[in-house]
Amino acid sequence: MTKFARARFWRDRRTTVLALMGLLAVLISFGAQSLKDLNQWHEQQLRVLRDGTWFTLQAQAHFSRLMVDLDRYAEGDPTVTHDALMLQFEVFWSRVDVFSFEQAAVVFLGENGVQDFVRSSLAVLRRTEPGLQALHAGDAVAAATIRRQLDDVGSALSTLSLTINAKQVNSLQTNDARSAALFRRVSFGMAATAATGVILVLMLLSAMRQQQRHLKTALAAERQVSTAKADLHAVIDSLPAIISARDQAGRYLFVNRSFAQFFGVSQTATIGSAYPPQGMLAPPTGADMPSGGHGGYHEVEVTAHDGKKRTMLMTDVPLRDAGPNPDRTVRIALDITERKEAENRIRFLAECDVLTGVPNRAFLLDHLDKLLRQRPQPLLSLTIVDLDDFKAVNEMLGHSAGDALLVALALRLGEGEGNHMICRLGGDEFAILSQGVRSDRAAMAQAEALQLRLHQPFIINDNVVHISASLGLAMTHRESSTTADLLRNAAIALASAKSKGRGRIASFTASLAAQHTHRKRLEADLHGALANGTELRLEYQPKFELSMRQLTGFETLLRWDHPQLGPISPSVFVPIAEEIGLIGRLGSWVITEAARQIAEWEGRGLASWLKFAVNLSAAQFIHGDIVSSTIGILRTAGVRPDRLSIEITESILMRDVVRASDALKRFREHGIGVSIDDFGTGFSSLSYLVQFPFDELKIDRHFVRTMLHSPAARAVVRSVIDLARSLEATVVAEGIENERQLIALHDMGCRLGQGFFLSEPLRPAAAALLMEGCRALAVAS
Amino acid sequence: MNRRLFLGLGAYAASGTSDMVETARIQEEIPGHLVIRGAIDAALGGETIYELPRLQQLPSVSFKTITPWTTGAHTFKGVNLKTLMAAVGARGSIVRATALNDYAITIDLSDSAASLAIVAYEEDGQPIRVRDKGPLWILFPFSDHPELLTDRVEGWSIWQLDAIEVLAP
Repeated sequence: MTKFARARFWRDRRTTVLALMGLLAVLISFGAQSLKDLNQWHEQQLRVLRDGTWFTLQAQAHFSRLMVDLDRYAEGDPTVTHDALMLQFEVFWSRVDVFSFEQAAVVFLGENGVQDFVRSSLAVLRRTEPGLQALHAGDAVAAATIRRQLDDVGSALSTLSLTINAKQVNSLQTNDARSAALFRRVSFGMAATAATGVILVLMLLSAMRQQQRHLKTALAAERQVSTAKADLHAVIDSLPAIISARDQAGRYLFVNRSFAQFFGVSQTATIGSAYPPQGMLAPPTGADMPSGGHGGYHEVEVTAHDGKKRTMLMTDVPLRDAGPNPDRTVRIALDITERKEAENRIRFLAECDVLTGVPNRAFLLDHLDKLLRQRPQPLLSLTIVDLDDFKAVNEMLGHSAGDALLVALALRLGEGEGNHMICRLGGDEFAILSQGVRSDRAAMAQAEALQLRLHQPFIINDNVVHISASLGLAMTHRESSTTADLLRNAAIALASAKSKGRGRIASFTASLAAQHTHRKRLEADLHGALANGTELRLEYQPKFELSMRQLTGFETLLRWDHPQLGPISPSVFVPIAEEIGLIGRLGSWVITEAARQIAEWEGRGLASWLKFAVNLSAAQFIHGDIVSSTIGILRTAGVRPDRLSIEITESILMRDVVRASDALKRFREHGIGVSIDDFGTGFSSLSYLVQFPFDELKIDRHFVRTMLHSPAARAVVRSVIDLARSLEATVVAEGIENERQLIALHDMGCRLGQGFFLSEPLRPAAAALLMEGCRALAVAS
Repeated sequence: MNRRLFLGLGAYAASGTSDMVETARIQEEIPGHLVIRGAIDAALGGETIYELPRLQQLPSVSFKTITPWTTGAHTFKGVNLKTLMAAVGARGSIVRATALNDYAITIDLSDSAASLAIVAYEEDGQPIRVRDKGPLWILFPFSDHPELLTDRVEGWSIWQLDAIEVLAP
């Protein structure tokens, strides 16, 4: 090519560039505009939704405050003066009046709806005013009339709140569709911008190379190249996207102005260097480079030079001159942080509790975060309220009644005094956030008052419903509380309240925290113990025939030797395993280990006439097919099913009678014996009990221990023995501790027993010795 | 209107007093009194109360304006907020204003918009009733300065103004 040809080439090229630039400018502005539209639209939605929720909440809160003051004044409470009462009235008036100017109200109710609400509510207030003006402290009768009148405003507010909530959900659904359409446009815009960017950068790189290669060529040609390059630079710099190109070694060939601004670096200094190397915007290099096409769009979080986290929509386009491996990568990223935030925000508002019209969990978290960031940190107390046995209400009265109860409950929770916010955490769990509670004692007093209110019956669909609830409360302390702390502490307190029974209140304390930590540790360690298998082992509690003291079988007992804490009782770790969903694995471990041990002893000619019992827990029994899994384990170990028996407690049977009865039948069909453990403690119902097929009843150790002193215990033992006999089951006494107990049991007709007096639980080696002794005895006799 | 929510949160956060304390406070500070406390002239002992007559003694400012919370234009009269802050010898430029309805907002006096703020005590020549957002209302000449109709300045327009705390600089 001659110098002049080259110059013409670039002149022609420049025309192409300009034409392309025109087209690209359209595409780019389309993409950028879509993004801007979406952001603005989201913000607007956000505002309306937020306001819709809040202004009704505020008005409702003030309404309840006015009512509380009215009641106190009517009771002659000296802390509420007439002036103070009138002031609350005035403030509430202004809260109603302001609805006329709330855009959200108009959006949700329509112009007429809002005006109707304001007009009728103000009419009530106007009617009430003279009576309130003339009200004397302690005049409960007149106050009651006023209260009735004002109640109309209160219920109008509740209706309003429910309407807004319902409409929010509808409008959110509509909005989602619109949002999706807009987002498609944005994606298209992004794709257009990306394609544009890549073409431009390609041209620019090519122009740069041309310029270098032909530095010594005719001045005119060089100038043409330079101008083309400057034009391209200008266009790429004006793009709202962050654009960079890197070579295989990770050096920047090009970065645009947005890139430099974002990372706080200079464009000229960055080109040729590998900085900024950290940051997720650094494109992949070498082997990381995508091998073909472009890798699609990703949302990534990137830290800008000011340390702020931004969300970017990003794509990489590998470029190659020759050969299969890309040698350059162009990366294009758009900052979509605002849209992300708006989206997140809308999502969280969408979860606002529709049923009860109170804020939801997300709202509470957000709100707590804001409060706890303040310095000085406000004094807060958080109470979690959990209904005891809400399931029963649903089952007895139906789900719509259950819902009605939750709505009524939310209202009742809101009736208390003081500055608080009610929130539905989910299901039948509510939270009450109170401010300005100065001491644990005050918080406890509030919780007790709340408990009393909850004990008042609810009228749900003409049914009188009594409920009880467990309350867990926690307070902020020493400026160091976080939202997570407060919620966790309240949840710990709630768990403690629930563990004590129904209708209890527990306050979070350091010792509860310690218990909780201990418990968390056990949970984690239990996982570990199951994984390594070395900390768990079985012991064997021998069962004897009482008259001849002959060995008849063993009950296997699970033991956990914690490497640091020493032996942990099954009564501690089995319930934990049930709660954290480990019981299935733990149960399988026990059966597997027992089967392995039985097989080993059988191989040594021991124990072939003895039965081994394993305990099954409720969770194991109810979830999954325990019968098939047990048979499977025995088959794998090569142990006959009739060597095994299972022990279950009465209470397990009562949880799901049909299922339990079915499982027991199947166990017995396989020859696995069924033994009912701790019999007498649950003492449910004989008619229930006879539905279950079983071979053995075990008398609870409590009755055995007290039978010599307590006629009642003795009566229980006797009736269990009689019952077993009439049902043709054997009976085993547990926990025999001395000879007198043994003799008494024998005299009452109990044939079998176990306990320390006969033998303590044995490790496998000792159990083997006992079996060998018995065999010798059997052979000898 | 946007301010309601925003402020709702703020108000909730700010009202960290028990009901009893709250009631007592309302009794002490009956409407028409503005309590100013915090980083103010040491001679005032950390807190001073402005009753209506005392406010009226300060130079007054009037303007006619529309607001997002009223119908039509009204004439408001009051004292310029910065004048008032100068009168109490405020040492900081960040103030926290709280209202009878528990609304609270932080205002940056060094912002140019804040120099236009008044603590209004009269609307169309009459004292303002609590139900009409009185007796004291921080307001801006929105009609003369439409650029002030932003979320931030609307948020500063606290009605039923009850107390101002000057935060230490």
